[in-house]
Amino acid sequence: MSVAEPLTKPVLAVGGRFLLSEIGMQLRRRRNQLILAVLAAVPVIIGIAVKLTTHDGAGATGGLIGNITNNGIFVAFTALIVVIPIFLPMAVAVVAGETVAGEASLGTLRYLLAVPVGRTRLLLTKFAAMGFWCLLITSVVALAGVIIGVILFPSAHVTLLSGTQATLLGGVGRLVGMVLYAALMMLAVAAIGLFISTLTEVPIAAMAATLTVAIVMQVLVAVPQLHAIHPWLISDHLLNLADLLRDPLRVSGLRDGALLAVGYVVVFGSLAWARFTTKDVTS
Amino acid sequence: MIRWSAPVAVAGVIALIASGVFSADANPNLAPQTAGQLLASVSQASTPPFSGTVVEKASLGLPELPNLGGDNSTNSQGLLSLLSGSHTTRIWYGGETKQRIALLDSLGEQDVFRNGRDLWQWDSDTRVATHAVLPAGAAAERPVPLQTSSLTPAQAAAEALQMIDSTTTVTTDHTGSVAGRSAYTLVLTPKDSQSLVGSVRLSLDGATRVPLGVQVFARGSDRVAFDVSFTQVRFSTPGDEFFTFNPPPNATVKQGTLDTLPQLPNPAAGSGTGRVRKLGTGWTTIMRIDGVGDLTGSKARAATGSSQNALTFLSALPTVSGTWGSGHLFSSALVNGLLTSDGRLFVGSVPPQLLYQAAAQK
Repeated sequence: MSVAEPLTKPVLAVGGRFLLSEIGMQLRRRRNQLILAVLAAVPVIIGIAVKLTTHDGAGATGGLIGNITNNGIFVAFTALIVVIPIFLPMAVAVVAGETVAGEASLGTLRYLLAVPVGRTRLLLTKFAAMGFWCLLITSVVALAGVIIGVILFPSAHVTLLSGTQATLLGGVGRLVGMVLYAALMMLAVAAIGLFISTLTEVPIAAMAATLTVAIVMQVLVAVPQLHAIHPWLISDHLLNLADLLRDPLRVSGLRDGALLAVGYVVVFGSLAWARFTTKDVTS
Repeated sequence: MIRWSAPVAVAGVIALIASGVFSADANPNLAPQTAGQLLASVSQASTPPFSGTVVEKASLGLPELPNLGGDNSTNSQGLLSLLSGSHTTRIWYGGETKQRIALLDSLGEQDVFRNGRDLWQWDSDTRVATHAVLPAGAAAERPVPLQTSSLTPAQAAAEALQMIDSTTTVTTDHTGSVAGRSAYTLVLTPKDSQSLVGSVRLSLDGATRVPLGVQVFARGSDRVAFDVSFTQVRFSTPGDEFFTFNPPPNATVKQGTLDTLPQLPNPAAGSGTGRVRKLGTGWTTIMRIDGVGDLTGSKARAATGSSQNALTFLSALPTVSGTWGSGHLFSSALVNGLLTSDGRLFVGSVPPQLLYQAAAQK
C-alpha cells in the first residue's frame, strides 16, 4: 500500500472491497455453488426432455413447453416460470438467512463490527450482496436455458402468447426483462430473509423461517377465499412474468409486482435496520 | 427504541399510498344530467376507437367453480365460471371492422383478431389458429358479434338497459371515476321484489358516454356482487398492427366460416351445449338450458373433461325435489340455478320457488 493514498478514498474503497469480499464468499461456498448447479440443470432437463419426446415438430404439445420446439429461447422462458414459485425463493432463503445469523453463529460478527464501518453500512453491503445473488440465480437459469435451447432447437422468430411474433432480438429483450423482474421479486424475499437473519444467531433457523414465509405465501394464494389479501402477497405476482410474453407487452401486472417488491424491500429492510442497529452483539 | 419507528412509519406511508389517499382522483367536473338525458345520450352514442383492459369480477361468496359446458378448451370459461373469480380481457377497438380481443390466462391467451373480412382466432394452449373470411358486401362492413367468454361493460350495459321499462326505476347518482376517467352514474332499480337484483349501477364516460363499468348489487346487500369494468382505457385509434394476424410457423392452421369457427365459450349464450331459452321477461327472466347432462343415466352425456367436473360439482350440491321432479340447487345471493335430474338447467336472479315453477312446465 502506498503511503500517499488519500484519506478520503477508504470510505468508498472499503465499502467496495467489503461488497466484493461478500460476493466472493458467496461464490466460494460449496453450498451456493451446488444451488447454482441445480438451478442451471432445470432448463437443461426441460430442454432434453422436450427434445427426446418430440420428433421433428410432430407431437409438439401446446402452451409454453410446446413453443420450445419452435424456438430454443423458450427453454429459458419455461425454466424461469418453473423455478420462480419455489426453487428461486429457496435459493434466496438459504443465502439470506445466512447473512447476519451466519456471522453471529461463527462468532465473526463482532470482529466485523470492530472494523470502522457503521452497522448501517454493514447491513447495506450485505443487502447489496443479496441483490447480486438474486440477479445471479435468475441469470444462471436464463443463460443455461438459452445455451441448451440454441444447441437443441432452431432459433428464429419468437412466437408470443398472443400468436404474434417477435424478432430474436425482441425475444432476448423480453428474456432480460423476465430476469430483472424475477430478480426484483426475489430481492423482496431476500429482504424478509435479511430481517429474520438479524433476529437469530442460528442461520438454519433463519433459512427455514424465510422459506416458510415464502411457502405460506404460495399456499395463501391458492385459497380463493383469501382473495382480498392476494394483491399483498409476493407469490401472487410471480407469474406476471408471463406478461412479458404478450403482444403488446402488458405493463400493469409487472408494475404492480415491482411496486410490491419495492414495498417489501423498504419495510423489511427498515425492520432489519432497526433490529440490527439496536441489537447487542454478544457472539 | 426510537429506531423501530422507522419501519412503522414506512409501513404506514405504504398503507396510505395503497389506500389511495394521495391519488389525484380528479373531482369529476361534469355538467349535471338527468337520468333521461343520460339514457338518450347512451342510446345515440357510437363507440369511438379505444383500447383498454376490462376486469370482470364476481363475488357471490362462492368457492371457485369448475367449468360448465365449455369442453372445447381446457381454459374455457363456462357459464358457472362467470359466477366466481376474476377474468381479465384486453380489447382493441379500431372501428366497426377492426377489433381484437384477448382473454388472459396466467400462462396463456386466447385471441380474436378481426381486420376487414379476415377473422382469426388463436389459442395459445392448443396453438390452433382458425381463419374465417367474412362474406363480401354489407356483412363485411358491420361488426360481427365476437363470441367471447367475457362480458364487456358495453355488453353488460346493453343487457341492463334492455331491462328498462315500467318495472325499473332509473335514477342518477353522484359522478365517479372509472379507469381514471370521470363518469356519470346511472342506477337501475328493479321494482319487482321477486328479483334478487337490488340495483345495477352503470358508469358512463363523461365525454363519450361509453359504458365504462357495470356493477350489480344483490337485494339487501351493499357489497358489489358482480362487476365488469375497465381498469384502463384510452380513447384513441389503435394502430393497424394490433389487428393483423399471421399464424406463427408451428401453429395448426384451420379454415372455417363464421358459423363453424370454434367459438370461445360464451356464457351469455349458454356455452353452446344444449339449447337456451328465455322464460319470462324483465328482471325475473329465467334462462332454460336443455341437455346439460343426464345425471340419472349410468354415464353422464357430456362426459368430457371439464363438463364431467362440472357435473360432479353440481351433483354435490344440495338435492331438492318437489312436484316438478328433483334436482340440485345452486344458490347464491344474486343468482340461483337448478339442475333437474333430467338434464335441464334453470338459471335466474329469482328465488328458488320461481325456478321450481319453471321446471314444472315441461
